[in-house]
Formats: sequence, C-alpha cells, structure tokens
Amino acid sequence: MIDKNVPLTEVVFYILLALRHPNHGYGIIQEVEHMTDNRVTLGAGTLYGAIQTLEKKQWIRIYHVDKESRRKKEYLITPLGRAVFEEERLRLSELLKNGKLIEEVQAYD
Amino acid sequence: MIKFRLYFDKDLETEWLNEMAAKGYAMTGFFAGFYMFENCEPGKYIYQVDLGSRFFSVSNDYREFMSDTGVEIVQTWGFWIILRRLSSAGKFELYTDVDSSIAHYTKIRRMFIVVLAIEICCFFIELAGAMAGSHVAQVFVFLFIFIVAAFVQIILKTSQTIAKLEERKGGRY
Repeated sequence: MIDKNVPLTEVVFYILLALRHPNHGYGIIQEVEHMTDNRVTLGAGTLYGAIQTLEKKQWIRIYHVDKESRRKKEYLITPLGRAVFEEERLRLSELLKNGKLIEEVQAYD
Repeated sequence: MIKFRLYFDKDLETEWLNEMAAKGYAMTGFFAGFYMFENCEPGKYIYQVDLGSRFFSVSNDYREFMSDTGVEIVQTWGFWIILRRLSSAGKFELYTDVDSSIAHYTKIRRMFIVVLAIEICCFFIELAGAMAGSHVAQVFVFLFIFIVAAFVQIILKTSQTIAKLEERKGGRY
C-alpha cells in the first residue's frame, strides 16, 4: 500500500518535513525556503492544493485552530504520513548508497 | 479609472493587471468585463489569477489560507479568483512546480470545455430560431460563432500549455 506512494514529489517531501512539528501555511513556505536556500519555493496555490490533498490522504492533520491569531490553522504530520516519509527516506538512502558505485574507477575508456 | 477588456486567457489578463499595477493603477474590482482601478504607488502589488471550485465565492479554508500567506482576494467572478499581494512581501506566484501547474491548467481546460459545450447548445437553439425566421436569433447565431471560435482557440492554447509542462516533466530522466 505505502509502496505506491513513493517516490514523493519534492513539494510533498518538504511539506511533510516542515510538518514534523506544528506549522502553519506561511511557516511551511518559510521553512522550506530556508532549508533549501531558496531553491524550493512554494507558491500559495501549490501549497494550498498540496495541503488539501495530504489532509484527504490523512498524511497530515489539523493540529490547532486559533480563532484569535492571524495565522489560524496549524498542521502536523500523522503517523501514516511519517510512515510514508520513512519509506521515501529509505528509498533515497538506497539511491545515495548505490550512487556511490559511480566512484569505482574503471579502465574502460 | 474603469477599463473594459475581455480576456479569455488568464495569463494575458495577469500580465495586463501587473502592467497596470507597475504604472500605478491597482485593480480593485471587476464586473462583466469592466475593471476598476485605483491609484497606487507604482509596483505596490503583484496580481495573480486563480481558478477556484466555487461559483462567485471561495471556501473559508481558501480565504484563510490566502490571508495567512499575505494574499488578498480582490474579486471572484464565476470560478475565477483575482488575487494580489504586496510586492514588498517578495515574489508572488501561485503554482511553482510542474505537477500543480499541470493540475491548474487541466482544471481551466475542463471548465472551458464545459462552457463550450453549453455555447454549442445555445448556438443550435439560435440556429433553429434563425431558420424559423427570427431576426434576433440570426444576430445571435453570428455572435455565438465568434464566442465558440474564441473558446476553441483558448482550449487549444491551454492544451499547448499543458503539453509543454508535460514535456518538462517527462524531460526529467
């Protein structure tokens, strides 16, 4: 079941990562920009659509709704979301490990 | 200031709204092709046009999310949503990856196809009226030919946009 979910898109990967702790929309955008040195920027429409989809899939959930503050909704990754993320992390570390094979010096030229 | 424009292409519309904002005219309202503008500091706002899922409104979720990220909903019209954000808050883009852009343009194309189907029905109703001798219907027949042609053109253009995005996606080996 979980296998079908990976590989994750870069956007989904970073949203799940940014939601390892409670975070709101604007916080996710800022954290992802910071983590990737502005390489991955999340447009408002892209993030909104992704949050809707991830919530439906129950990979993330609403953590807190604050009626007073301007930043109203905080999200958090669910255990299911963590399982998917872990699956992806295993896949990525396998890629990295196997990628090292390219360093084997060969005299084929 | 009020300007009349008929845009079928949201990318051209966005471009125009941003050109106006750069000249110091911030769009504040829209009604049936009439765009309302107010004077603003040149380049104060960046505009974007989105396609929502509700007719002449947005969900609370959408409104709250946008306001959380500093985005103001200027106007809803049909399924269209015109948004703006202060340019001081940085670059303002709605769809920043290939997957969500494809989803966006696919949704736009689907909407245009539904509208086109309705227009073709209207065309045949008017055609029947015109053949029965109604002069009003004859005028409408010509009107609908132009409208249908405009929609076919924008559907083809949207398909090209989607194909280009798919190519970019497929280009990642």
